[in-house]
Amino acid sequence: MGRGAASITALALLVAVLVGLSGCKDREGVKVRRVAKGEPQGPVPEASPPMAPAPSSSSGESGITDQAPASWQRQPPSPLRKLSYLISGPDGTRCEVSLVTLGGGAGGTLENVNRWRTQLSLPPLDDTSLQKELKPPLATPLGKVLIVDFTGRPEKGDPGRDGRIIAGILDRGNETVFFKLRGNPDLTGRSEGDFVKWIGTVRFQP
Amino acid sequence: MSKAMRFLLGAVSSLKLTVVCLSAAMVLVFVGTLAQVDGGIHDVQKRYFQSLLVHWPDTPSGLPVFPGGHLIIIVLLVNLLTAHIRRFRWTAAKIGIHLIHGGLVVMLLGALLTDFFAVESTMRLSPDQTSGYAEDQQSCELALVETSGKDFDTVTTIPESLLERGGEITDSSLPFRVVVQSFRRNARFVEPGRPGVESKPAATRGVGARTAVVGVRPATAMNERNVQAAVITLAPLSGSNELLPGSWLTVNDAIEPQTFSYGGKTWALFLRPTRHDLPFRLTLRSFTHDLYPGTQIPKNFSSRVLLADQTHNESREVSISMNRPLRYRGVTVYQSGFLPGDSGTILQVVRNPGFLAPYLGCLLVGIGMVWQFGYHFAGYLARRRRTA
Repeated sequence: MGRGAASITALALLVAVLVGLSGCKDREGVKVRRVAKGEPQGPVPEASPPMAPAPSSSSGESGITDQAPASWQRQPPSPLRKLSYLISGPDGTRCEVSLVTLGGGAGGTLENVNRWRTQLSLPPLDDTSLQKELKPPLATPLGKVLIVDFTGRPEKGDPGRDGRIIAGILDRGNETVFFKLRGNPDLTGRSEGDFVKWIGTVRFQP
Repeated sequence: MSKAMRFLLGAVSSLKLTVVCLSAAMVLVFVGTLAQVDGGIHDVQKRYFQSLLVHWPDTPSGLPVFPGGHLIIIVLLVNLLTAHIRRFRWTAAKIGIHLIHGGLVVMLLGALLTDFFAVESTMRLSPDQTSGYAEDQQSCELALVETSGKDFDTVTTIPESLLERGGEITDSSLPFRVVVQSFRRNARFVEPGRPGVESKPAATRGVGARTAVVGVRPATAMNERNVQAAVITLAPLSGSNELLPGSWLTVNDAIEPQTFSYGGKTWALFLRPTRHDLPFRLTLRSFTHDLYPGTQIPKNFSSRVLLADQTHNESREVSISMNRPLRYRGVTVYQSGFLPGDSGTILQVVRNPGFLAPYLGCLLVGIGMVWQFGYHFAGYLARRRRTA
């Protein structure tokens, strides 16, 4: 083989390798690793470390600030929940606190209240009975927050973690904000004061 | 050499082809830059510059309408190298030209090397937190974690490209088949049953049983990121084609862990940003974020980290700040940002085996130009002396 032919062969090989690498760039395969126990495997939240104690004031990428009690454990936000906390009580009981915003009227107060009631195996309400169920509205700097409080059957049959919902509904015109405290009935009741105070601290950044 | 081969070599090594390639590169850069307005930088980079062909519409089955960045670079490389094969003359007068062309070849190969093998990812650390991996926020992977071991968990990860392709995925580490029912590159989540939205839950088990999924346009802005979602089902490896009961919705965002039992072992499911293991671990000792007095304008970010590498008996504290990255074992760690409320640091982790190519290429081109200029200048002086 002459020098020219050898050079052309080498060049053809180089081209084949480069074209092959370019074509296979995104074709990764399944990988297997062994990792020490305790290393977190789930996604790491962008706004705060998982299970970190609640800061006195939080402002994540959600554009919402609040002042949560120190005993509430901040939870990673999710696409649905802009803010989320865990309250742990004695004997493994727990409650979850969440703030969800949805565009427009989000289906109306009655529809949403009945959805929560269904989750606790309670019969749906009509407009008249809803008015009787509503607690005195909470006045906050953001506006009037309607409050409801239901106790029913835990959705998954675990009374340590479910059975009561205290929720606030705030109409901001272009969106509806849902504040929800849900969990063990006793712990939910004991946390109501903190929950109401917390609602009053929530602010939306412009 | 046959006549046909000579003709082919002549065409491939012609200056006309060089001009065509450079013109195509200019058009590609122009069109690709405009496309970033709607397509976002990451997608356009892949579609226009890190591909052999630009397809329209943007699917593998779309019509190839223009050469992509990789093809242009490869053709330029071939053009340059064949020109040297055909016209190579080892004379002192040509050394500068050879060095300049050599520098260009190194730069072109370096560009391809970077595209093929460079990995950019981020590491988020809170004080005293340790990590041995970095995450690529642009892509995701499905992690199936077998947690029955005493000291170790076995983590099997399936990349986004396989999830996007759908269908069945098998691996020797998995005692079941993973069947991808659906995959969305960007999704939003609503409570099922809410009036006016999807009433059917996305899956039957875990968080998906109380969540409906709505697909949305992939994120294009630099400050947005996709929230990928996949619905998967498991099927036995052999025997009947019957699926195991239930389906799971996995979301690339922290919702809650989902676990299940199979064959007497416990498994956890996560869809998470793609992880890249590092050959060392970093622990954040402290993070400082200085502002110019009386303003909110950042003056300096810096992270004090403990670098630990058991295989090289390395354990030392280092500072990483805006213009002082950490370089260790082929990995460069830059100070990139900070977590909300200065609660931690964000480090950019780059592994680029071709990082020296631009420096080497520029050096060769520079030496070549100096040689070429100096050689001809010396010849000119010699001729002047002779005529004088």
